[in-house]
Amino acid sequence: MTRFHHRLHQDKQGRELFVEAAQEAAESVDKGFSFVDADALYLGYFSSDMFERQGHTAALMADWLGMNPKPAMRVEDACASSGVAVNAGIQAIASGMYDVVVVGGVEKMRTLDTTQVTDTLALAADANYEAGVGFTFPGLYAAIASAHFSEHGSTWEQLQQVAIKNHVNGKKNPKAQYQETVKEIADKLGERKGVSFRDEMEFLSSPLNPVVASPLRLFDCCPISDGAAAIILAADEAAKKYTDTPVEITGIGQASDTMALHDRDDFTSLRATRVAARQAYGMAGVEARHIDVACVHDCFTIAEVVATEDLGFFAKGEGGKAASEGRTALDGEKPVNPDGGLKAKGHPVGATGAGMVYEMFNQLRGQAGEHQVADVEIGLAHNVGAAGATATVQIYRRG
Amino acid sequence: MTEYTVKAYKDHLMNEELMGVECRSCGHLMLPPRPICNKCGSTDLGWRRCGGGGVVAAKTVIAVPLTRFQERCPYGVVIVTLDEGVSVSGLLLDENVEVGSRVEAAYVKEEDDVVLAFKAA
Repeated sequence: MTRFHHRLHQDKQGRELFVEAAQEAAESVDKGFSFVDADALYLGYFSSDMFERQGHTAALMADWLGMNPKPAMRVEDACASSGVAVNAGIQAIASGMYDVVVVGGVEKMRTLDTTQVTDTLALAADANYEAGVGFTFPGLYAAIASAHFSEHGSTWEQLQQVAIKNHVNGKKNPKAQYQETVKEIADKLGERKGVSFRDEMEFLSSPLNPVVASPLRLFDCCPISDGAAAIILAADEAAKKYTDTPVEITGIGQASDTMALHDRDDFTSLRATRVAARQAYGMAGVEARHIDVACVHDCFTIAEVVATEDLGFFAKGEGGKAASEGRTALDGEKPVNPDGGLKAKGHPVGATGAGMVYEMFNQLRGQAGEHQVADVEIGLAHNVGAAGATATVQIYRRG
Repeated sequence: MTEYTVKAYKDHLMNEELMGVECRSCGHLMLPPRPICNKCGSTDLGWRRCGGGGVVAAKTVIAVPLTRFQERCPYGVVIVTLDEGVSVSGLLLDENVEVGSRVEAAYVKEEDDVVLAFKAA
């Protein structure tokens, strides 16, 4: 996985980012790996068309990895593009068709300015009935937050604990876009503006944390990022050729929901997450209480709260309270987003689902470094497309 | 071919009519219209007029806008649960509207398009 970043990759194109990530993956294989060994490539890339004026990116990446004539497929499922690509790769192996596949994703977003990125991300909502009446992508999650506050009594203050926690974790992750705590950022920005903040909350409530779509402010939103992640999947037998300590995938799930948020029965929960989780837990033979570490799709602070409820970690309406009590911290009872999550690690849309798998691999091999969670046996990765029209879940186990 | 198209819906909006479709098989109401009932799968559908009154179920005020809405910024967007029980997204024309407020449909006509909106009732 490349570092996810907003400036670092200015001189690189998507193809170079993906090759960089894939090369790191290949070089990290215990007994060595060459891309000519792979049977196929599944690539998540949300909008190469808008961001890079480039289509047909799966063939391009396979070409640049030297994988010709192996088949290559691009998946476009908004922010769940590479979560779905990972599931597609798993299904291809499970079918017996392939033994080894490369899965991953990339997004090169910083080619456009903020308004253009906002327009591009809104393509993942219903163009006629959501974006067409003014909804932006942050706006949809802001609407979810407003309903969650109203129905479950959760608060904006609780959401801030998600951002604060994810920045604490991101500081410990060398691949994260933001490796600073919210307090450190507050002190730095405050010094520049000649103001000082007593604590994080005073900064987060200040004009230096401007509203994006009320009630969500800048620090409720994941950043715009460039980056790529790649994973090598192998069938049980084939994996022995590459490592003695693999990470096993024991369950997967995927579900869709209505494209428009307004067509759902409940605006405070993502049904696609609930269905995908049920499938994955069932296949793996585990329950939410068995999960030792999780990467969940926190494109906005409210999204992490909703995800921890929908995945069954906490009761409905209790996710905000759980976050504010530190139960999802690195040393909490249910560590969520030890890598900093989308908030601090960054969110190059098409790379995010694969980036979570990268984190699972490191956590379950005990090689996550400073943000390693203690005693992990079973992990979960959860990737969402837009406001929940797509969701994927995978369950991982130490091999 | 279905008559329940985006264009037909928008043509109705242009005439200040909020038209959904009702499934004749299971009675499910869908707004905006769709060609297949998303509850029972039937294609035996008919147009049904909605009154346009409802209650705000979710709300945001957008400060970082889409290009198309830049001139309105900051602007509100709401999801409204109509009296008929179906929910729909719309632009918000009034400031003093919150989750739980009563609103009614309005129609913002642009050069070659119409935007469904809501204002305080």
